Amino acid sequence: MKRPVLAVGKRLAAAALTLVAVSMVLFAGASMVPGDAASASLGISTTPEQIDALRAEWGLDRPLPVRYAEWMGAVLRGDLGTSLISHRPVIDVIAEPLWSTTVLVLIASAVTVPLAVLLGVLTGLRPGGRLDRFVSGVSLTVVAIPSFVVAGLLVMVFSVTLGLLPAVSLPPLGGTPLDRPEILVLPAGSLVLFATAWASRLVRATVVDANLAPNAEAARLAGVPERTVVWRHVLPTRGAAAVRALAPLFAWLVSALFGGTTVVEVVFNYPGLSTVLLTAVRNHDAAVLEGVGLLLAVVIVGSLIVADLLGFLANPKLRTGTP
Amino acid sequence: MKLRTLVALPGAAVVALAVAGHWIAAGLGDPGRIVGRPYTGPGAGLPLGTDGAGRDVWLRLLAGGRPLVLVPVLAVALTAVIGTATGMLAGYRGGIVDALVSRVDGLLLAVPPVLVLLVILHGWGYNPVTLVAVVVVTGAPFVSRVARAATLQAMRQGYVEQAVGLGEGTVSVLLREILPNIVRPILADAGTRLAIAVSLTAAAGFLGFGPDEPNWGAMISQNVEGVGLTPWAVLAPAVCLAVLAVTANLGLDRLAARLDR
Repeated sequence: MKRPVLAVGKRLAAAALTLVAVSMVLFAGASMVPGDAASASLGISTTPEQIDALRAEWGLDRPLPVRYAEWMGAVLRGDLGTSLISHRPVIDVIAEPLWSTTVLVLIASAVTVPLAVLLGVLTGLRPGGRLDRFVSGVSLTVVAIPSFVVAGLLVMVFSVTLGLLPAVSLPPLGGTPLDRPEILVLPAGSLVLFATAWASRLVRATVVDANLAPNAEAARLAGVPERTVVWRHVLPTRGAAAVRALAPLFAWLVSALFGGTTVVEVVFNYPGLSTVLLTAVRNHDAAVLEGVGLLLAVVIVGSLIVADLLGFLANPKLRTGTP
Repeated sequence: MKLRTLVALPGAAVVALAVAGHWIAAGLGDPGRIVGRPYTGPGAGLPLGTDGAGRDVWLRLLAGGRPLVLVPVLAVALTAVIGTATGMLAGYRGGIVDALVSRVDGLLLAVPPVLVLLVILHGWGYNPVTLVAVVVVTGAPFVSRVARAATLQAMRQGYVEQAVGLGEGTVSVLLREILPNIVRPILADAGTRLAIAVSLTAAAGFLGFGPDEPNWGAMISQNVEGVGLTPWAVLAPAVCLAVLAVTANLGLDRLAARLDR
């Protein structure tokens, strides 16, 4: 029983290291830049001396490792710092938009995961069949098209032409997106289209692989009906391997959705993280950018760990106790 | 065969439009000039109407594809070179090199491309070099993985061992024995990379970065408010962008399939 615990501990340690590495890269990327908040916030008619004074006041003139250590120390105490532009705590700036974005991503994943698995399994069991060719064609197209174009085309069809759904996804004043659920349909739909197209292809590849396993082929040659081959031979023997192969896929899905949503939100004026991120980038507000980046990294690395553990628990060797 | 031509035709037309439209537009007038009231529908002299600022949508469509062709193609070429080099090295050398490359690849794969785009634009502004950098940073890890796996497979084929046994040096083995045998999977992947590069480049324009020059990505976000008045200012660039991205993907796929034969 010791081995699994040790293995899980190792994975968690590796994940923590990954998180530290990501946070360093992000901090360096967001801080070590030519243009910074001091010059951005003072405007154009300033002297270099004024900019230097502001930089010194904000501590932007100290070496990068020192600033990283201080920032990380504060983060560990739950303090993400203060926005350099609005002077509000970063947590307050991003809390509400982050929640809106998370709602959108959760809805999109709740639809995408079953849909991608269903389509992937149906097409993977009959590669080259009519359904497979149709789904492959559609998903090849959708994967290639930028998500904001898909979103724009959905607006054309469902709001402008059919008038069924709102083109702009603004929640009521002082309310949350959940108070007007219809505003979530088109943004979530755009994400689902894009993510399903992408994920179903990977599920399909896994299913095709599993279906060609020697034991399945042998059963087929022995005349076992296809349905029995799938349920009795493929699933019990290859199911765990498939879960292991697919678990990281769904972790990446979370990353792709959180990334894709920032662009899709802009199409619909949805009050999510995109507004915060774009404002931060325009104003060179490194504190906000680092805060959002770190939170996203935590979410992504977190889902990678969950995926990794799921794959680990699906390993049949664990049940028999053999290493 | 007929069907394939039918599918390829709009793709070729849009690529031609993106590459050469710039010059045609230059002969017709200035795409930045205001020619009418905002969001006028199609009419005489304005085949696609005007956009939110009252500019000629047709002229802007002609001129706006250029930034979405040159940068992505260059960036994907560089991505392929860097990804192939690191992947081959990781697969061939194994050990600590492999561990390092695989870790860095895994790390970069976990970061959403749009976040990379925003951080790099935040620091260094919008220009061809930063756009290329975004595509390389987000794309090279994918290529590296493909190249590494293909290298490992190629090394089991005996001819690599033979070459090493005959005294070929590392560089020679990598370039003359392994590279020709892993080009196919890398090229098959390059279509996806190119489509994503087009998307990312367009997304930068769409998110409002870059100069106020015609850009299909930027046209969509600038005019989305007016789709109820006239859809063309959004529909035309959206359809062109979609066809361009799909053509990039399928075109390179076909090229890879042709090499296969």
